[in-house]
Amino acid sequence: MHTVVSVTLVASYVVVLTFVAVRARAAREYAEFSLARRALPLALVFGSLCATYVGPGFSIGFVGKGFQSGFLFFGIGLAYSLQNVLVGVLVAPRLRALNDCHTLGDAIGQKYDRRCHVLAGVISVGLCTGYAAVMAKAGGVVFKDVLGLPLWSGVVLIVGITTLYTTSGGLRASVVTDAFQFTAFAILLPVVLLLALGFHLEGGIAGFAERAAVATQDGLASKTPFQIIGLVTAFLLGETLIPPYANRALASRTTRVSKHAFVLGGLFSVVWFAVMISLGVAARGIVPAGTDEDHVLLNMVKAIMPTEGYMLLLVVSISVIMSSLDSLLNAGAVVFTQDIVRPIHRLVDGKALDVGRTATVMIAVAAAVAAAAVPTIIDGLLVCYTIWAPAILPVLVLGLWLKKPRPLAGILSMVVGALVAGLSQLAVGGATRVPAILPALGAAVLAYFIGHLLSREKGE
Amino acid sequence: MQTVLIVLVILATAATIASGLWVATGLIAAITSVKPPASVPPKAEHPDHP
Repeated sequence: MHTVVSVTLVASYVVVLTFVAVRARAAREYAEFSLARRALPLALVFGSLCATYVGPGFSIGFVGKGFQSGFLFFGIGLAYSLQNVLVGVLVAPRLRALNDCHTLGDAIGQKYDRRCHVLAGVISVGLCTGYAAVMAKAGGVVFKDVLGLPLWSGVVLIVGITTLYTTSGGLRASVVTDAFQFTAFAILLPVVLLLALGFHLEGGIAGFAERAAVATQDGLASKTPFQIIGLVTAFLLGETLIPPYANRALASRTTRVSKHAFVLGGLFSVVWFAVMISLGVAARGIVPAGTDEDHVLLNMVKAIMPTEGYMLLLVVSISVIMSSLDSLLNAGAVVFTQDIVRPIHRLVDGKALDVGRTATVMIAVAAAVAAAAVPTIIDGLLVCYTIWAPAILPVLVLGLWLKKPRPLAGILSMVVGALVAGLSQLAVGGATRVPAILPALGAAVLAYFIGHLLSREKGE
Repeated sequence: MQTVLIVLVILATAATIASGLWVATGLIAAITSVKPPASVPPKAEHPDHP
């Protein structure tokens, strides 16, 4: 009986997802594949944005952090919420207001020159592939833990299904399926929390509050102030306007939709982090101490829910991972076409669509292969964060705000930012990896201003 | 203090579920309003031997 209900549950999810993906229909033009004709309404941009940033790190990872260190990571996560609100107020509307702009590289190309455009494209494609590899690995781990499949087959399964609908439908399919997946996990995970609070809370409200206080104190004691500053910086800047977010800002129906989606996305992250951390705190009375962080949610659901609930968790986890993976594949493909191929070769619309579809498959294959090299989900994400913020953010933000940005400043900042971030991580190793973002960011800003001053003296 | 904490957690839970429902209504509106692709008018038939 349990097996029948479980299979029905998973089959229903697959059927509805397929129906939604088919309704999104195949993209017929490049403008549809890359920016969904810039016609996305607020609810879809908001849902897709949230579904993209709520990956395994902000769900399974945050539950584990709540279990280990109470509300410490809720405080650190607020830096991420603030970043989204600031992007919504200051950057997203300016980005959306640029004409004929498909990617961040386009924006950088319009503000600087073609060399900067291509360089930003190369960094963006590398980053999207890296993030996608982390998501592929997370998918493989979920299939392995829940169904006992070998890691490689889980990776192939999740990358294969996601590639299928992303290649065909482009951004619109990605956004529409994201909205469906967002609905699934935004309802199901809070229901798990309500069940834990209502029926499995040892010691009642007082017990929950006491466990939260003890765990938070333990968490604070386990981190140095410098590590906390590094984590806050990584959460504040590490994912700022990565290609999938930029695509959603650009594909919004109006500048107002773009602004409101990011502001609401930031506010949603506050309540989401509160729910995830509370799940972790509640798990302290349910799951044995010493449980591995990445397995806290899984073991908690196993302990408090019937077999069907366990299958439900599979559905939720797959939703969380696929909604991030499809966004990364589409964004990487659009960046490859728009920022690397188009500045070098003129492409007509139909040809650009073909290149975009081929690039989706290529990035998916690269991510599936690279998934084997990802150490852990959180480590993989931190490597990407540390490179993205220094390499791209100073160039983008200063370019949007300065009256006359100089190309030399852009190139120097991107090269120095990426190199210092990479070398810092190699030099300092895992224990202090998070703060590597700080010297790299400082070096990138310094290189920008040196390039700016040199160009001004030359009269460029 | 304990009551405030639990009330805030329950409010956050309610807000998360409400967001999910709001996006669901937007999704339903989006997929039910998809227009079928414009049909291409059939090419005029040319007789082989005009």
